[in-house]
Amino acid sequence: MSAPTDRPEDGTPTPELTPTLELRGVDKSFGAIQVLHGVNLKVYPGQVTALVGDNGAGKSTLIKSIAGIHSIDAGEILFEGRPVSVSGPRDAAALGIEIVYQDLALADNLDVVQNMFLGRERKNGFVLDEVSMEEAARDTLSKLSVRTLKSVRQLVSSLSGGQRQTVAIAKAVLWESKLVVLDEPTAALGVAQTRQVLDLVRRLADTGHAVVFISHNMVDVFEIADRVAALYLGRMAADIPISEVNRSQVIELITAGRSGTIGIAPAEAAAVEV
Amino acid sequence: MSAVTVTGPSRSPALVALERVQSLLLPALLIGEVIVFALLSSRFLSADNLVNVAVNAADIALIAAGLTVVVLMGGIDVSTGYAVGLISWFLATLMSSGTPGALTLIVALIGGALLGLLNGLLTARLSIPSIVATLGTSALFQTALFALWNRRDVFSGPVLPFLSGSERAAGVPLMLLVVLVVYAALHLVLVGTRVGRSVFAIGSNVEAARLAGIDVRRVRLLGSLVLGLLVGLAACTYLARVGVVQASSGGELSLLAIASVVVGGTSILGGEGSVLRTLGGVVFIALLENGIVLAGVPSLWNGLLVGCVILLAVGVNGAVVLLRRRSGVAE
Ligand SMILES: Nc1ncnc2c1ncn2[C@@H]1O[C@H](COP(=O)(O)OP(=O)(O)OP(=O)(O)O)[C@@H](O)[C@H]1O
Ligand SMILES: [Mg+2]
Repeated sequence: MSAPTDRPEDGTPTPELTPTLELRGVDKSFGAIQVLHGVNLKVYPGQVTALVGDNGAGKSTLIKSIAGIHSIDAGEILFEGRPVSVSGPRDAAALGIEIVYQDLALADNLDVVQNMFLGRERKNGFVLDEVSMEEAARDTLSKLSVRTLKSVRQLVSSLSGGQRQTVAIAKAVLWESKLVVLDEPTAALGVAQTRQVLDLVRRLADTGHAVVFISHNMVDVFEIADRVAALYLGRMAADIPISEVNRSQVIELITAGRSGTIGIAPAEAAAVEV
Repeated sequence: MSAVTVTGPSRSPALVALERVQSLLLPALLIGEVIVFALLSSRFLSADNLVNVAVNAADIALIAAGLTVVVLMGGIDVSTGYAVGLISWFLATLMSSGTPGALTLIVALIGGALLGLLNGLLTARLSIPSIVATLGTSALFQTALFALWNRRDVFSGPVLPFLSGSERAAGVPLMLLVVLVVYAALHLVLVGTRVGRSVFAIGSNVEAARLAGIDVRRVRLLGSLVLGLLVGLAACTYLARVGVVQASSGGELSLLAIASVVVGGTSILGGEGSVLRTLGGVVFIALLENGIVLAGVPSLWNGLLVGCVILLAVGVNGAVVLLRRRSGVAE
């Protein structure tokens, strides 16, 4: 885990701070349809960056490109200042990138421990080391003050939506990742469970992780984000400290790509809005 | 799902009841079967008869063990019967031309591995649904066997003595030990190793498995290879049992192997089950075949009963899955 960093209250990174993740001019097309256009993004350690944008703006595509599930057509991905090429979930994990996907990539017929270690099980020779995995899973959950799980040997199919999200997030912490990306972690949750997940996300950043938090909910965004990055039709309209904007400005950025002097240039915005 | 659920989604009473039915189905069927056949024939429970049943069930047991691995990953294979038939034609031909048994066994394993890999490549590499791919290869194997047979039955003794029922230690056929070793080994791999865990993950949620960095195609291919090797071994025990290869040898085994797996309680949708359950399913199917003969019931009834039991097991499994979905437990 990266050392806890001071987080200036206004969300401006100290000048010498290297972004954990930086995207430069990332393009991505599916066949003839270009989904991402020259996307730039900086994500800093110890901060929550809210990635916002309308349905279909390209948020999920962007994070799948970071994870190496989609290969990018142009542009650069820098991790801790070094250019990297990520060609799959294993590469991403090796760098210290953990992604909690929108459609929750958990296996229902496996239990909590088995899910947290899926693909990276601890072994004793050839045999799985269940005892040490169970211990580590329990440690991680208690470190995150997760107390809603009855047992770490419960099947994931028996968990509630919030518990599933908690397990997915705890998995990220277990692997001591530097960057945690959460795709709409609260979308399907009720009030109490949303509360739990938001607290958990905040705690992730406070323990030095760089966090990308995708959400459509402005209340959540303004509650926990330090920075906000707004995607508009595949273009990055703004990537700024959240203290520099208010809620209606962010909504304008989402719906029009522009708000006052912030956002993509008027000419470009007009050209995009065919 | 209510907004403040903390303890997990509630399970409807119907679902709880059905899940109990699912877990008790095999024991109930086994007990019922044993009681009925013991009443119908006094020979049914004799040690001689039971050893005989075990020896005769070896080929189904071997196929069903490998098939379980494939089914756990959400796949299926309907070509195993004719694969056994095709391979045993080669084995019988080799044996009758004086090839040593050990060499013939190696040919059986290689042949099985090749047929398994063919199925594996079609399903894992080309992403053809396994039911379609193996229906295709099944027709292929059947036709190849028919062409090779060419109206000449090929007779042959056992490939190696320990692969027939005759070689015994303390009254226990060695073949039975081979089968048990296969089951024990597969069980340990499935529950205790990383690749075994991957098998369950793939059957439970392929996308999750892929995102966790599991090489799904490689594990699928490995599963087909294991099934192929066991099909090769089953061809040896099959030949030892029937002693002759004909135009449609082995064909009946496909369905019996599938029946053993699903009656055992391994979910046909993948992700849930075990080879030990399959072993229970094999015992049920083998006792059914034997009991019907001993009771003097026309063997026509055998197919009917096997069919009904498959539908019952699959039906209960399907209903459980449906109810889980409805009660908001994500699938
Ligand atoms: N694999 C794919 N093949 C083709 N088009 C795709 C693919 N994945 C996404 N797209 C398209 O790319 C665009 C961006 O989709 P994406 O899922 O990234 O949006 P999003 O911002 O995550 O939306 P939401 O808020 O609804 O989750 C959409 O128009 C979508 O149809
Ligand atoms: Mg999305």
